[in-house]
Formats: sequence, structure tokens, C-alpha cells
Amino acid sequence: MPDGPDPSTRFLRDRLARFVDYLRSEGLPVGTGEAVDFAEAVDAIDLLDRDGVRAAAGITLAKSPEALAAVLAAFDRYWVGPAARAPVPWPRDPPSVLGPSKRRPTHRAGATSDATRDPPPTVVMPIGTYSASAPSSPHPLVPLEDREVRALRRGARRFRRQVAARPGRRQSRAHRGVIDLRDTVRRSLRNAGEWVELGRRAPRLTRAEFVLLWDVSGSMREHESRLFALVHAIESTSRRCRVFAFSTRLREISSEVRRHGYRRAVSRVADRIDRADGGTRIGESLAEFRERFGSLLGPETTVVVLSDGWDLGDVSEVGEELGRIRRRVRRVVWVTPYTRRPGFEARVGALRSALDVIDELLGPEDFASRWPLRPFRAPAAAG
Amino acid sequence: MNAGAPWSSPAEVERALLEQNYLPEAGLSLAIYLASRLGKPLLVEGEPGCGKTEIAKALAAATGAELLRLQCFEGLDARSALYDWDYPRQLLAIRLHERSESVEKVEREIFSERYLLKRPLLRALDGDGRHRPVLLIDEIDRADEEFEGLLLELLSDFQVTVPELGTIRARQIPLVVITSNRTRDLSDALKRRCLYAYLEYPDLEKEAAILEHRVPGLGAGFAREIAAFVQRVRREPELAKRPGVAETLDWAAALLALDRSSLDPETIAATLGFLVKDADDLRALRERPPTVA
Repeated sequence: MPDGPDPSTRFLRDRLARFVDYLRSEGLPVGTGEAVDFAEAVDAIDLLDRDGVRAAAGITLAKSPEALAAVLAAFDRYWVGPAARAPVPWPRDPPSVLGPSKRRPTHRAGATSDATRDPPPTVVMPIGTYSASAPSSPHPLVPLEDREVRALRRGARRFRRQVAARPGRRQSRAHRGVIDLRDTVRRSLRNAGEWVELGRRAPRLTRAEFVLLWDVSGSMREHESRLFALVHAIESTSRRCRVFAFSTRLREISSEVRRHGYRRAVSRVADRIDRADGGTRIGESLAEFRERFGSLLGPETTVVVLSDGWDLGDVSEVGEELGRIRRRVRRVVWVTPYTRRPGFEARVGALRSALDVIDELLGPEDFASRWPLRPFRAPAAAG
Repeated sequence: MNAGAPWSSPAEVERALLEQNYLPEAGLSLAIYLASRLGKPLLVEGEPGCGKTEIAKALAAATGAELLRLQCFEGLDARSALYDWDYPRQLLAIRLHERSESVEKVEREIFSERYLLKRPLLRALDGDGRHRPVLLIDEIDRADEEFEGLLLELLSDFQVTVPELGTIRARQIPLVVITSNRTRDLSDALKRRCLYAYLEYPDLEKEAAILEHRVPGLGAGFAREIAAFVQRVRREPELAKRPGVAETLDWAAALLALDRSSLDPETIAATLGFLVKDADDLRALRERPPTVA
């Protein structure tokens, strides 16, 4: 019976396992399968080729461009040594609306630890802030009552049916489509059994494709629990839904929302998001979205912006950017917490600038009510 | 099952691809080498037109293997991707044997491999014993999420279970290249089974080199001029769809066919449609064209 791997291989594998452990502590979802792939990849290449090992880490441990950048940055931090360690943005460039996971261990100065397990000292990064020095604060997301969540889900389903542009599995009568034998026979009875007219059926449009852009800036503090419940409700109605949080920067949070029950999603997102108290730059965030995720925009996509419209950036940019997005998608919907308040007028700069290009302006109440969605129409945009 | 790698180092992969006029990005050769050594599928993501599909074509040409291509689309199912039964021939066989054979024998006969129509995924498991087949699953993000479930057994164990026949295992592990334009997120289960590479738009030097390789007769100077112009077009903030390398190559070929040896505003205006495929983009660029170097 073999004695197992030799000491040098065991040492190497131990180091690799510690690196994988470090990646997990940084919030990267690295599974055992990926770790095994990494170890096998390192076996297959020249171990003295640092760039090769670094690239192999990206190839085996990352599954998206964002994760790729994060793995490579973590590799540099972990393997280069303390002198070269520097704060590296995750996943792209700071400041980001997502802060480090609260589960991430913090490292006190002077604390002794195993050198290989010791990640670089945590550097306080100005996360999601308008100015570089403005502090961020924990996200106060709290779960809504089940009754409210159920109402929002019903509304989200109605919304999905309203904007559906993709065929589902169920079929219904149609002018074009495959021949429906049963319907054709039924029709033939009207014509003495002659097959004069053919019945046809085609898939019903029941599936929708969403991009949700959720404003998590300080001005949304009062409403964010409710809006997040709506985000989760819409996300759960469609398998093709991507969720982004923004304040001064944009960050995808689809994986935090997806495939989790509402309460678990609340705690995951609250764990990972720091609210930016320093302001919102909606136009810049939209431009960043279009730049980085433009491939998500298509003729079947519905883009939903959830924001109060308070913006410290150039408000005209909001209209321009939304216009560019609108040209490429099926529909742009803006959800603001204030539409159903008495005397509401879309006077906030960013919202006013967006009115000309959006298709609907809704409030969370529209989703929670039992009635069909009633879009708000400002006089300027009516007609 | 044999996962014998056709190459012994990433440098060999790079050389093999260069021989096929494919200039790999830094890191892509290593990803291909590891995919081939570890017997894992390679998931390649990136902007449309960056050369994702070309990787599989170049690999097939480099190894002399057959390229099995599965173009994904919405509604793609096992019948188009995996296998189907040849129903007309089965019916004929039933009629032929209905008097002479027992029911069990007829059943065994008609549900044998003879009556199985192999689609690309199943054909990739066959192999000829000499070359590892190259399987290209193109634009998987266009297929339904359910289709990804169908791929899991194939991509992890390189086998397919046909209920009537049992499990069919690969004779040789194919080189599998899966491409995605990231129009939707792929499932974690699928991504876990793959190695990963992301292709960016090439930089100026690389794009000029690609043009020289792929459009012979262009000349180094003109290739660089075209590449520089395309790089400037890509930096235009308002473009809905940025031109990929494929569009650059088309445009360069068109310019060569028009006997041009340098760019001028009239030529650009007349041929911009090769580079930009969106009406709004075309209008915007004609109104405010990027400067020619």
C-alpha cells in the first residue's frame, strides 16, 4: 500500500489549501472541486513559473471576470509577501457599494498567527462613498412581515406577466405556430368534419428577463427594507434576472439574492452591503453598468431602477444614460418610494431627467396592492 | 477513457494555435493546456466577436480532430443535442419483423445503437482512437437553464445515459470548449465542472498582429492604422455594440478588396457598416467620426 504523497508534495498541497482557505475568508466561493483542480493544475505546470501558477489559480478557482480579478489580486497579496501587500479592490475598482464580508476575520496589530494563514492586515477602505473619506455604515436591512412579502410577490408575478417577452412552456391558441390536432378536429365539427381551418398553438409569453438596479445610498435608508423585499420578489419570479446595487459605484449582488429564501437573502445582503452615506451618482452608476454589463441589455430585457432620484452627480447624465439603455431594451421602469404620497411630483432632478425616457414610474405600493399596476404619469411625460 | 494531452507545455499550445493563425491571449494557452491535461471542459466568456468560437476551430485544425459543434438556442433539447431514435426506420423494422420474430427480439433490435441518431454531444464520446475530438458548445447562455442540467453528466464523467441502452462512456475524453457571451448567469453546477478563461478585447499591438496574420496582404502599417482606428471606436462612450475582432477582420478584408492602403474619411464613411452593426451607432459615428491617426 502506498504511503501517500511525499513530504514536499504534502507541504505544497498544504500551502495551496491555506491559500484556498484565505480566498474563502475573503468571501470568494471556492469549492473543494475547484481546490482539487488547482492542485492538479499546479502539478501539471512548472512550479517555479510564478506567473503560470498565478494564471492557473485564476483558471481553476474563478468562474467570472469579477472573481478572476479578485483571485489574482488575492494571489498577489498572499504569495508576494507583506512588503508588497497593498489593498486591492474587490472585484474591480474602489470604492464599491459592497464592503467586506462581516464574516471576514479582522487582524489586530501585534496579534500572532501562523504566517501562511495570516492574510494581509485589513485595510479600512472607503466603501461606497461619494468622497474618499466619508464613512460607510452597516446596512439596516430588516425582514418585512410575511404578509407584506407575499403581497409584493403577487405584485411581482403580475409585473412579470405584464412585461413577459420570452416564451414559456405552456402553449395557447395562436394564429401562427404548430398545428394543434385537437383544436383542428374541434373546428372541423363546424364544417361537417372537413378540415377547413387548422388550429394552431404557440408558447405563451410568460418569461421575463430583468435587470434590477437598486439604489442603496443614504437617502434610501428609510425605504430599503421594503425595496429589497421587492427586489427579492421580482428576482424570484424570473430565472433571468441580474441584480445590482449602486450608490456612487455599482456592484452585482445577484448571487447574494438568488436561490435563497427571503430571510436568508436579507441577512446575506445586509452582511455584505455597506450603505454609502456620502451620496449617490446615478448617472455614473448607469454608465458603469452599461460599460461593464452592456451584454445584458437586449430586446427582451426589462430594466428596473429602484431609487428616490436624489443624485449628487450630473442629473442630466441620468436621462442621457437611461436613454441609451432604453434604446436597447424592451422597457425601463423606475420604482420610487414616493409615487403614492399625496401631492407627489417628479421634481427631484434625476427623476425629472429620467421621465422622458422611462416607460413607467411605479411605487412599491403598486406591487403590494391587489389591483393591476397603475403607472404614475407626470404631466410632462404624459401622452 | 483516455485524456492523453496532445501538448506537453503551454508553449506548445501557443505554437499550435499560431500555426492556425490564432493569436492566443496571455493565459489562454495555459488554460487550454490545463483543460487538455486535466480532462476538464474550458468555459470561455467574453464580449461577442473576441475569438471564443475560433479557439475550438483552431484546436480542431491543430490536432487534426473533427470539430463537433453544438450551436445553442432557446428551446434546445436532448433530441437536438444528445440523441434521438430513428422512428421511421424503427417502424419499418417492426413491420419487417412482426411475423418472424418475438416481441422481445424486435424490441431489442429497434432499441439498439443501429437506430440511434447521434447528435453532437453523443458523437463527441465516440472518437476515432487517434485524435481527441473537439467539442464546441457555442453560446450556451442562449440555451434554457434546463439544458445545462442535461450537460452535467457529460461534462463531469464524459458519459451519457440512454435509458434503453444504458450508459455510453467516452473512448477518449474530448477537448470541450464552452462559450458564453454572459447574457445570463450560468448555473454554479456547470461552472464548477469547467476551467475558466475570460477574453477581453485585444490591445492595439495584439489586434494589429491578428490583422497581419489573418488578412494577408494588408501590410504592417495599414494593419496598425486599422487597429488603432478600431481601438478608438471601441472607446466611444455611446456605442451600443462595440466592434469585436471579427468585425475588424471583416472590415480589413473589405478595405483590402477595395484596394485601399490607408484610411481616409470617405473610405471610412463608406465602409463603416462592416465595423458597426447598430443603426444608432452608425449614425453617431458618421456624425462624429473618431479621428484617423
